[in-house]
Amino acid sequence: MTESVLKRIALGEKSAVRDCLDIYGGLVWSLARRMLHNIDDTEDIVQEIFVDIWKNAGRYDSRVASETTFIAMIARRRLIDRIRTVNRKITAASLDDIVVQQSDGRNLDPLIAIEAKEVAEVITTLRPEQQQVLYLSIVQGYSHQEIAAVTGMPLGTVKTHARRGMIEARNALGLGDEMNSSEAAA
Amino acid sequence: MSEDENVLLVDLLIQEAVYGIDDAEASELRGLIGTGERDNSYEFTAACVALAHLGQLESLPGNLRARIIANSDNYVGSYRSNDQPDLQNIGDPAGKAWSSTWWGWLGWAAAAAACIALAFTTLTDRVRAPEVVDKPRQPLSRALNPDKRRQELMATAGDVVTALWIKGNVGPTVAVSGDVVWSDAKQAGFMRLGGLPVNDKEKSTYQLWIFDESQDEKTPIDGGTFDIDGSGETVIPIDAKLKTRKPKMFAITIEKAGGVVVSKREKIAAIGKIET
Repeated sequence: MTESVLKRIALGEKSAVRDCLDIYGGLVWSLARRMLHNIDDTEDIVQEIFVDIWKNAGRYDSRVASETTFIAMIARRRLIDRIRTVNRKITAASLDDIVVQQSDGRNLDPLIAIEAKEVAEVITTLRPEQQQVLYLSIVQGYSHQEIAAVTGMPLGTVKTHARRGMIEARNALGLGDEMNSSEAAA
Repeated sequence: MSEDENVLLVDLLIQEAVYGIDDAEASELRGLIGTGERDNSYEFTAACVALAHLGQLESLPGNLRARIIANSDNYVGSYRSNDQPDLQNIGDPAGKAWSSTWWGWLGWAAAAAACIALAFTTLTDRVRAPEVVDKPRQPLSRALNPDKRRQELMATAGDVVTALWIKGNVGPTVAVSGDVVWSDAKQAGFMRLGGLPVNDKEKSTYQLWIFDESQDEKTPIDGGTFDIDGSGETVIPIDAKLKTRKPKMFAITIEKAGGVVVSKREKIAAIGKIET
């Protein structure tokens, strides 16, 4: 039986590198393009992400996570690190793109598409304002101040939606302890 | 931990997951966590939100792909396990000071598992040797046409599962309709399909893939090849090459004539997910 592509990489199977790029290259590239759209060294960052993936492939365990989320997690950490070194500003063009759009599942690997769709369905259970703030902060990378400027919400309201949205999303996704979270949300 | 400290802890974890944290914040976070287990659930939540908003994927540029492959020689096949960095430290400016305990990893893994369970509740316990299909166990009436045989299956099998087709990544003019039904007991199933374009049999074929609990998601069961000869709805028997257990998803890809052993999933005509 064929091992997961990450397990094959961890075992030193060089052909698995190409398979990994076939399956997840678009995912990582698209995440990077979405998060670093004004940064001109996206290709270098993506290359660094894949080095992180090669190095950590041995830690992947299919019993506890899909490869998609494992790789998305690694990619986001590297991308956030890069974003923190660049003072990215909102452009007029990017303002026009600020709408909350869920994945339509097109052009995705079937498994990624299903995963994205189901997670999107969970996210839609949040309040629209929370969805908007999470989208702008997590996907677009906007600061709370930038979100307040873009949406017209008071800064305090943005912070409240961001915090409660994350806590509620975490709980809706079954990732956290609701009792502790509600205490923390107080 | 006091209530105020707990609130601050959550604030820092969310900050880290969404925007990252600086050295001072990392130090503060370490102080709050102490010797406890690091909570990665907010990072995982953020990854899920990003995944939900992926939209259409762009292809990895060819030149970048070539660079990554060339560079991978330095890591894949030559990397020593004791060189591996702690996953928690990737992209974390203060991460080297984090506890790199196995328990920390387990915390992330548990969070990850919880999320993935939303999409693939049966991806675990898949390492089983595939069984060759010992069909037909209870053959359906071969004299009947596929539509009648489908109806017979629906009427006689008590374990039939159904999934509706949705369009894959084929062109926008394609509007796939219909469903797929499957019975584990009879090891038989049928696709009811409408809207798929007629394929040039000399060049291409449609091929069905079955994602079930017995196979890794990267190696779904070959469900057979078929052609679309005309417009309108057609019913096609599934020709599973391995014994199928509790299918979760079906996918139809477009392949070269004759079909393939492993699909690159470049052209996905339709996807059908069993609703639980």
